[in-house]
Amino acid sequence: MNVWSCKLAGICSIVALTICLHGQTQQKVDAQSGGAGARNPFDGFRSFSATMNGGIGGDHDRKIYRLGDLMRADFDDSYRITDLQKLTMWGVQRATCSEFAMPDAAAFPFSAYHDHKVARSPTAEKETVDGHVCAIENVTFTPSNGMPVVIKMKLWEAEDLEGFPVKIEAEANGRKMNIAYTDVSLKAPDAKLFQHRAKCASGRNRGRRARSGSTPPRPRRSNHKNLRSNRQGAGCSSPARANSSLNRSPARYGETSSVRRSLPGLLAPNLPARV
Amino acid sequence: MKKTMFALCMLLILGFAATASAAPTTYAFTFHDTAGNPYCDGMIVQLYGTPKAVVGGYHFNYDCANASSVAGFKHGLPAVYQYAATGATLDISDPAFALGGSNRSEQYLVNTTYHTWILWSGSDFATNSVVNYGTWVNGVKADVKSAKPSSQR
Repeated sequence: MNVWSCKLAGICSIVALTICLHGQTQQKVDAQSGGAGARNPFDGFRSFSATMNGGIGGDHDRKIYRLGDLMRADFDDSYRITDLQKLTMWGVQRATCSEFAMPDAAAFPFSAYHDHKVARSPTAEKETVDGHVCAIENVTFTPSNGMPVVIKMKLWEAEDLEGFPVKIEAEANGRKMNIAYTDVSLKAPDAKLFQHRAKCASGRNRGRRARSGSTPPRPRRSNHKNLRSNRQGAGCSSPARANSSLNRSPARYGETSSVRRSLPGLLAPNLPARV
Repeated sequence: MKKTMFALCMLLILGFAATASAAPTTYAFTFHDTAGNPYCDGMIVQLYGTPKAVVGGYHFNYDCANASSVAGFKHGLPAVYQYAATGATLDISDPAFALGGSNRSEQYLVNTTYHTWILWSGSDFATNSVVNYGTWVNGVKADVKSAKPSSQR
């Protein structure tokens, strides 16, 4: 009986694994093929730079660059590079580098809807946006896997920029979002802008635990190498560097009452205006 | 043998008692960017429940002026979804007032071991994105009015 149970469990495991792997492969194939229907209007612009306002992250005058499958967004003292195919992101700070399993918000909509069905409806309307005469097109993205949310977009495509969408109104599930691109250049940006380490520190080696009352953690030997490389350009090191300023006591304050005792006058003014 | 069993029973009883009476832990912190510059906002949340994994509290100064209610759970999460951290994190849902109002998700992952945070947002099946991330420090610096909130990158 036990032998048969083991065999049965083994067969079930193999079947489940096969189904699981098939599903993953299918998703990758769908993502690469772009699904049925028209071409994703954002796939055609593989080299450009622009200044972005709005979008998922509510960006203000965010400088962005695209070169092939990589998209960069500039920040005050750092930059982020999103791989539009793998949908991963590197955050590159002055002395550290972090890798994430999802894109940066500024990469939207170039990072999204690769596996959606696309329906495009050009209109006869024309409008001038930021000095560009634009044709207006309505685009609908429908999930290929039958999920219920349909994303509708209205694009203002600048005629002097090969149809680059300088203005986008997107609506998903009743929520509207606007994006505007200015200072658009279709010239390929410098490849050096997209330099990053093939691998940032990850997993347990990524960071150091913040300790109470301790001095900032000394970088490990491997980090010395990274820090040296950082002097030459964007590099990666343990995010312990990010925590080096966190030479603080533990976060725990105990009961709420003790917080009120230890932080007199700080809770009241702003709590809770909106509940 | 009897002594061993008695000791084991006592340990189990004490263990259960300790779990049941685990006092809530309150975290009060202010968000910083990756370079250590402060944002105007932060959170005061309490970790409680049995097992101790429920999170509730306030996101103060979410727009440098007001506060919103937040809630969530503490659980483990792979490092690639956190900033400079790994393991258990406070997964805190926020009403996203600072990001344009309702009907979108806003999720803060606050790692209390590594003192880091990351803000995620998404509005449909395909747009979950990293909005911002950084470190945090203990204490509620509500007087930093000149800075911007952590949701404004």
